[in-house]
Amino acid sequence: MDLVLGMTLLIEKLFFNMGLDHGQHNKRVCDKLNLLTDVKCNDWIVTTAFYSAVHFFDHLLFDFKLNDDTTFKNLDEAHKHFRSQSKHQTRGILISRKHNALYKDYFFLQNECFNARYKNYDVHDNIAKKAIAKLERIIPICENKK
Amino acid sequence: MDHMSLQSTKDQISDTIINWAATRLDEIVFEPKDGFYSFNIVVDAYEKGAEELNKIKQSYRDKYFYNAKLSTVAVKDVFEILSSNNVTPNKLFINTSVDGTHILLVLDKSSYQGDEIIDIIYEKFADLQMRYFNEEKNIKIGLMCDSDKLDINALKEDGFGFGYDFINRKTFF
Repeated sequence: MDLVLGMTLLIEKLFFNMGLDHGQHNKRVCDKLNLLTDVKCNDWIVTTAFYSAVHFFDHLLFDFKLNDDTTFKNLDEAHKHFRSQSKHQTRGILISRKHNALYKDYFFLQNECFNARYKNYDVHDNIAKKAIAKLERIIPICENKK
Repeated sequence: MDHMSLQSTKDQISDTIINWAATRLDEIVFEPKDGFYSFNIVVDAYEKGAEELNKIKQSYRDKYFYNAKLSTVAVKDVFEILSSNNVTPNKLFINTSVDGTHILLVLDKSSYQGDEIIDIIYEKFADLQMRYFNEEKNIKIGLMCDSDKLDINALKEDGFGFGYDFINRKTFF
């Protein structure tokens, strides 16, 4: 029984940290891209910043208690309930409810990431700089999940 | 563009959007997304049979037009945000379908140079986006910096069927 309990706790811990690990991985890539001097890749900085934030936020948000009767274990469950235009938008709704001050950072990152393609990935330096600043604001709040 | 010009442009744009939506052909209104028709269209057609098809088509046209009108609501709201911050858009793109509407504002590069203005606008856009969701208005709003590398074809491919250039005062499509 102790072995089974131990294995269960280990698996839960692994899953608990997967979002954080993936978020941190994407953050490391973002940081590396930001250091490049021979090639400009603001589009990828913004993209890795967004997809890092996504994983940190998913760690923060779930399980998400909507009310006494409804708890979402993951984004799929939340999206079936809210039926917004996209899962990314559903995530935004949950962020605004759980930690409203972070929603505008998420909105910024998502918007700049998705719209880069309409400018042939020509992303302003200031936007890349802001993307990193917003990610660095998001991370400690998500890591310190209560 | 001064405040009065922006106001009259906003009104003209709303009329232009409505006229554009009213003239969309059925093929565009019912256009499959990613190669597949909306699940609801298929189910409705199967369940109700061919003789009901015209009624189904009309209900989808009504939904499409309703979402196009929501675009004009969003245009009014985003213009108010921009004008209160002395920012005028360079371009506007709209992606309307039976599922909802997406407004994309293109701002001049100068808006992105400093920190303050773009931070304020983003904050207000984020608040507006949440307000739409809470009011159950299926509107998505976004903004981006203008660029010499603007890819109109990419916008079109992603469903942005309406585009307007405020500087040259002309539609794109």
